[in-house]
Amino acid sequence: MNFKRIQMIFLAIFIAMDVLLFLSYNRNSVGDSTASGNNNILEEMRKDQITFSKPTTDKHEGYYFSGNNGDALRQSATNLQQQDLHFSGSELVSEFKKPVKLTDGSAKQILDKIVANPGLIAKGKQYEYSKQLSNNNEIIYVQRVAKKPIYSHFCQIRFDLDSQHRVIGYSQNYLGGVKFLKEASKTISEERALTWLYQYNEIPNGAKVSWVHLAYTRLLTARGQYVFLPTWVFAVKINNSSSVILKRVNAYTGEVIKTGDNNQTSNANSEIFTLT
Amino acid sequence: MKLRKLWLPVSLVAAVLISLGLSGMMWTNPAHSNLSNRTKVTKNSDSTSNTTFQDIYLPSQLLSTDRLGRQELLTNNRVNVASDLRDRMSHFTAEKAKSVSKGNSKRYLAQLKRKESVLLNYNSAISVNFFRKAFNNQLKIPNQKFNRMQLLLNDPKHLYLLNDQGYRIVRVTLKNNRADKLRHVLADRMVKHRVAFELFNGKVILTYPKAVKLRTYSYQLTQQTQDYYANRIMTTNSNSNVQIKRHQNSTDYDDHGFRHMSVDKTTDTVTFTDYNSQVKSNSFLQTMNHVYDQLVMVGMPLDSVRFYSYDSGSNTAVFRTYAGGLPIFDQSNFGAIQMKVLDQSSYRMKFSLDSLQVPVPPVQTSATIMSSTDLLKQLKNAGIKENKIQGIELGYEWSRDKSLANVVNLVPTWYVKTNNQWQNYRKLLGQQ
Repeated sequence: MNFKRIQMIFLAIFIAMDVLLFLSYNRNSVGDSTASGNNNILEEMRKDQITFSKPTTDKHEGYYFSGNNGDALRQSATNLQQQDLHFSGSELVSEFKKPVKLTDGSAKQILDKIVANPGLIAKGKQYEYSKQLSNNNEIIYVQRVAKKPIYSHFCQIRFDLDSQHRVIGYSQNYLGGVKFLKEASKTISEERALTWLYQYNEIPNGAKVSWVHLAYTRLLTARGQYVFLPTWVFAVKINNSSSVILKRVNAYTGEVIKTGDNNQTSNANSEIFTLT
Repeated sequence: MKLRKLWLPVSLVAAVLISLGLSGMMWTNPAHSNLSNRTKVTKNSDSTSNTTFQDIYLPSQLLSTDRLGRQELLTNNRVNVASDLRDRMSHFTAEKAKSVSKGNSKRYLAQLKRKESVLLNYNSAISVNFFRKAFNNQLKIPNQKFNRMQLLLNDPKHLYLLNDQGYRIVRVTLKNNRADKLRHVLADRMVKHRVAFELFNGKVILTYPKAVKLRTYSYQLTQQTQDYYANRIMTTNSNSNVQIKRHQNSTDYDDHGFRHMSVDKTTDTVTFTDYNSQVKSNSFLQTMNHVYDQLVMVGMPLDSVRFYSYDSGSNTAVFRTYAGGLPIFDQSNFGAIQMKVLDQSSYRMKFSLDSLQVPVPPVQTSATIMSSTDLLKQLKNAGIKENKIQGIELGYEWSRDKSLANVVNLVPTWYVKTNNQWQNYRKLLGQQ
């Protein structure tokens, strides 16, 4: 009788232990998806209903460079014609004497000609049309350095459009005195940047990555100069929202660049555009 | 009746077996150990993997000699010339090697000054097997040591391997090399500095006959926290707790097993000792492989860190941060990383918590450095005996900016090696 009771107690203990072991085993299996390869992460992203086109695995080269909005634009602006212009700080604000009518489909061609004309736009040859940053209210041209665009307010031409789709005028910022601070170094691939962005929880479930560009972003200001570095810029469209948020990943280290004082230096102030 | 008697022992046995089975599964499956990261969000700081074995073991100097015998040190502000040249030199194949000369210093110096050639230099002797891996080529010649490679622009069929130790010259007959490929690399706009090889106390040194103008750099100082390294390298043995002892100027971490880490707060350096690491140091290549693996394991940023020298006597490899093709001194008293193999199963690594990642505009764009002739004159006047000088080298001095916090200025200056230690020449002259 005594022996039977001991057996009963043992049985109860072992069953409880089995249940516990089974539970902990199961919990470990779930969520243990820290897969080694990027492919598994991409698959996981698809499971989270994130839409994106297949990222490339190519590595590129980029520079750290510095520059500022100095007097270069002011000097070459003296040659400009057919417009009323003034400077607000280092920004050139101009109104065309005769608004330029843009027709559907050929807006880019018309503006390309204007930008290329040194009598109309100063330093225009260094800028290029950006379809992604432009919208119905303004058309944006971005300055290029070392064959890559700079996505920053400090290096843009913005053409303002009125309700009749006419260009009334523009505002321009120009980055002068560009100096390379270090020799070219290899960037990480788009695929790696995308998977890291996801792993930092920067892409919510159900979001859509509309486009990806390798472009320069301002990282910080030091000694009166802006310092830029190559970044992978992801346009993330969040579910149930019309706005697109640009997320920037440091193309050297894979770190997500954030606004505010997350960085160690107090003058770190990166930009994140919100497009509508 | 019999069944009712049996059900209790049978189910007890079954329960015991199930629990045994389950615990066995948890023990054997590595995915369920505490080591794995169970969370989805892992701070993936493996930016180090961006720096490959090939990158960290690039030659430290690049020289060209033109048709008239003018020798120049090559750097480039836009591209890394050494890696560019390395990529062109991959796919070299060779089977024949012939020793040309040995022990003849005059002949050796003449070979170094050979017209229309490119020299790739290492500070210490490397092996053919190592060269094959670092340059990704197919040199199938007997393994031997050398510290310079000489490519000939007017003779693409030959490559010379030179060793300062014993003035050895070995000629390798190449297949699949095209001279125009090399010329293409050299055709790019380069920053060139006049240099000349000289014998100094029987040692080959590189001198600068004229004053040189070099770029200065400024960097934002990136400092890794000691917790990062403590988590990365001290918590691998999940069964034991890491003991942390805090002292006034340092913190010690000990895992009661094989690993010990000590962080010195005054110099921001870490000394890490691993007593349980299989060191296969039978050959130079194996040692370097091992060193590289450990660097990746520790996970320090290796962006501009490169192999500087290896001393086979003390089994110590030194890595330095490089800027504009020149090494940086004074980051710590050992360089960026020092790795010493203690014995077959242990090593000690010293490294700096500081690293340079983000360049910022410097105050002055360049600085002029006196010629090596002037340097040697000054050293002589200060009473430093010639035979005490083991070497001279141009390098960058690491100093914190006085007005900007967390900014490091790199200013070029002369470094002199005496008593096996590199020092700023001003220190030797008593000016610092």
